[in-house]
Amino acid sequence: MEIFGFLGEALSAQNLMFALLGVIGGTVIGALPGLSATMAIAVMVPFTFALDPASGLIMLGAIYTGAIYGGAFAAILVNTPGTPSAIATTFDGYPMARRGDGDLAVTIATIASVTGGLVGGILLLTLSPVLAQVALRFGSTEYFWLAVLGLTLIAVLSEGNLVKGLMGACLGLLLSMVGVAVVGGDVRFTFGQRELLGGVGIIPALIGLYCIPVLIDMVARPGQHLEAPAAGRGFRLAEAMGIAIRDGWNLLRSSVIGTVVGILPGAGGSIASLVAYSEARRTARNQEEYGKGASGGLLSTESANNATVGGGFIPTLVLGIPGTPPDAVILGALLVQGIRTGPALFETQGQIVYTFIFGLLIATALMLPVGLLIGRYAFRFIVATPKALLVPLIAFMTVLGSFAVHNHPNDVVVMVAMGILGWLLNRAGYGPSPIVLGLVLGQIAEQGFVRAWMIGGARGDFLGQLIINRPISWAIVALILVTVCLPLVKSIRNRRAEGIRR
Amino acid sequence: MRTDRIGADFAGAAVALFFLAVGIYAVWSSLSMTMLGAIFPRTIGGFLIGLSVIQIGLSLAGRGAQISGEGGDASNEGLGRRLALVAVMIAWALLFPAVGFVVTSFVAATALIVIAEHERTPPTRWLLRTAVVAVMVGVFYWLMTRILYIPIPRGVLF
Amino acid sequence: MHIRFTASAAGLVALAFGLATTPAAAFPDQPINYIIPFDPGGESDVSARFQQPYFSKIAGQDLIIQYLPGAGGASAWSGLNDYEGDGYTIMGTNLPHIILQPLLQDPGYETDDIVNVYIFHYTPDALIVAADSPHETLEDFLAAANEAPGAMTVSGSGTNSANDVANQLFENETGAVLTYIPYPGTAPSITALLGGEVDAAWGYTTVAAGQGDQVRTLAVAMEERHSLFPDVPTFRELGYEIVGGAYRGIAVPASTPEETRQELSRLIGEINADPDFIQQMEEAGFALIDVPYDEAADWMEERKAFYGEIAEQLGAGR
Repeated sequence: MEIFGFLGEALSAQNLMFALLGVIGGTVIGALPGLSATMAIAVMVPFTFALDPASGLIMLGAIYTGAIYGGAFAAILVNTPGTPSAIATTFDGYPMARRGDGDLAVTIATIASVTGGLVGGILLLTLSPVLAQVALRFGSTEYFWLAVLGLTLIAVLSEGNLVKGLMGACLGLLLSMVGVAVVGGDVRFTFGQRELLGGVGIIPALIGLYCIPVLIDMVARPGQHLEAPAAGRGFRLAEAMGIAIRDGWNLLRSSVIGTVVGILPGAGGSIASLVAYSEARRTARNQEEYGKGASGGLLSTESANNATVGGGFIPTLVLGIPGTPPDAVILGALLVQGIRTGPALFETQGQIVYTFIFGLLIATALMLPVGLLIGRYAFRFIVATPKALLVPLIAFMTVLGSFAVHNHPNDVVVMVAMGILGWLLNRAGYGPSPIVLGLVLGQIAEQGFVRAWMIGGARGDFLGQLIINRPISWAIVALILVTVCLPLVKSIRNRRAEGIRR
Repeated sequence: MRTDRIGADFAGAAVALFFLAVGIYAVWSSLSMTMLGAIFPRTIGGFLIGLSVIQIGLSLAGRGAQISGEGGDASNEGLGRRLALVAVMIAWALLFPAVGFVVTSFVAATALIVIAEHERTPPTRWLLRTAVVAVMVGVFYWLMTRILYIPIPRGVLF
Repeated sequence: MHIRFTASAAGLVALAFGLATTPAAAFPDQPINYIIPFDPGGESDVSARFQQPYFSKIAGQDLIIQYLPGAGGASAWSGLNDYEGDGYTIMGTNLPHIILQPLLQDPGYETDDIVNVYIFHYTPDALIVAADSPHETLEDFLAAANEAPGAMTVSGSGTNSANDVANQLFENETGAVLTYIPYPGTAPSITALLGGEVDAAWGYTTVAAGQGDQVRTLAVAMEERHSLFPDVPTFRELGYEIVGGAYRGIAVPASTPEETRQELSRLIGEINADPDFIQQMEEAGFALIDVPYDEAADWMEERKAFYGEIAEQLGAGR
């Protein structure tokens, strides 16, 4: 079959080298909070013009998938998501590290990321044209309900205090409204500061809210940040593989969720990992452990976010509509090389497309050895470095990372401000995740709602546009209701059981 | 919802008061926006006001527990060092555009070495650490300007 | 000893003097930072990437593209004059944005703060429908719109943007009443069109080129038909005086000296004249224009007058 000829091309020495370099570079960049895949890809694009299109694409794709995976390192070891798609990884990753299982966590994250990436890539290879249609079925209404789903998930995950979680989410939502509104053009909540016109940056806020409180706590006490593992312990690969296989269904389901959410332009890894996490938690037998270091939680988030890489390429290649910001850069690069995207792409430019997809799959598989090695050293490094050096290092990365996103010094101020706010809120029992997720989902929710409202108004049918005529929205709303009601039903049952016992 | 009777949660109530103020501000600002632009601020602001009131009640009644797994360390241990770190970060963020990225970062990072170190350390170790910090700042400066082409503010000093 | 010392000292002084008065090495002698005020992948980015190799060829130095998105471009433009005016930082500008934003909001800059050295292309507005839409021609579309004023939904990128202006102009010229639905960018607005969420989309010829057979272009806002779309009529042909689109140019910080501005203008003009560049741009759907530095100020005044009227209508509608 001709297709397997392309596999051979992807395995050429040159393409293998690009895949490897891309994965290594991407993983390192993704691990450093603030340095994003988009940035790295944008810088590499001019170099790819000198290469043949497939090789260039393989390198860019490898950087992309490496970066999404790399975000897990900082999330696990320092409780700071390296990229927004790693937010949900902190829920269980960091607690695992705190109790001494950091190396296991990194290995689990590696296995999960590779699996997710492979599933996404295989779906990209086999079902692209069909799946691309899914992207078109999701309109403003669906995005609104999807964002609401994300927000209810946060609230439900704020076990212990629903009200505080919801308040955090509301704050995040309000923060997302700072700046110029896309619909209507109002300038909101900027206090007259021109620096705030662009809004509160997600990355600076994320770095600040997660990382600064960790630093503040680190300086308070002597001793190491993370305990050193028992001497001679290796990668714990066998242990991790055992865990992954036992939880195989979770892994598979999360990867599929990740791919599907990745197909939706603009949705992104953060929503994907959140939905996957919530589903994993809901169906897990050890539900109480989620949030305290359950391996299932880590498996679900990391596989989902890497699956969005393959998923995101589906609308990019088939429809010419980028799934995520890195896809937009890659699309631009394709355009400059004269490659026209569209349903016919797979036939007319089959050589480039298939070689690229195979290369992406190979790069994903390469993440396993690369990740284990880098992970081992990252873990050893964090464990062995005294706080007196670790704190300046991490603090420097936070400043650098927040600045580098948009080259705005003001973003560093935002980062520190949000950091202090996050620390104070933490002390009073308000966690950072609801705020960050509110910030991430706010624009999606608001724009989705307002646009659906406008379209409904134009058609004279508000309710129809908002829910009645939208079958996909029914499914999402049903999921929302299930997510909200199930815990309530459970706690009512528990109370009744307690009542009977008394 | 777990309910821990640990006594009134004053911190939680105080923060809830802050949220209440935020909610009120949001609603008040929304009055001068266009209709479409005001929908969300007003609604979310309204929710925030309602939730804050509920939370104040819950906190004062001693029922406002921490979010599980996420609560930071609420003790005041090492408060001096913590506040020192906060001060350094604030100074770092505000000064680096004016004074220059490399100098500010080096000074701030060195200050953090001191703040984070609890044990007595020989002078050689201080020097070594300062050198590591200097190398780190230098390497990343090079990476940002030469490889990633990110414009770094020069400021008065370097 | 004394003499040798004096000699070397004199030599050093002479050298220093010589260096100080040597005419500066030909500009540019380092790479130039080209800041794009939007996210990568958009029209501004793509046209910049087309320019990149030609710039290297003609100027001998690389063009380094950086992105500074935020507030529809206002984040970057409001910070333009904070950069050093040594000619090594240039920024992409977009019309009508830089004229409408100061009029309709408070973006942190005034139109006159922006010093354009060249306006090098525009993407002509195009009214686009999905390939399976019932509207075959502009007349069909107008008939449907007039039957139910306000019921036809048209997507576009942003509020107070080129698409918004195109819609307003269209409504003025034809008397139709449409509902404009803003999206955060061109890609989402086209997704909405393909997914059936809106009836039509305001895009550009570049978008139509990119989407190929999945869309049908009803009309383009040009003086003559675009070479890529010989079958698509212009608005002017159909009796509606709508010519324009989103214009893109290059600006420098106000502190940049006159000769540097002229030199940059010359360089960009040379790129614009290169036949390979022209072909690449046109094949992607762009339409080249040439407004060099000398003519830029007058051209901006004329554009300000034009958009000024529209601005009042857009502002009033809110």
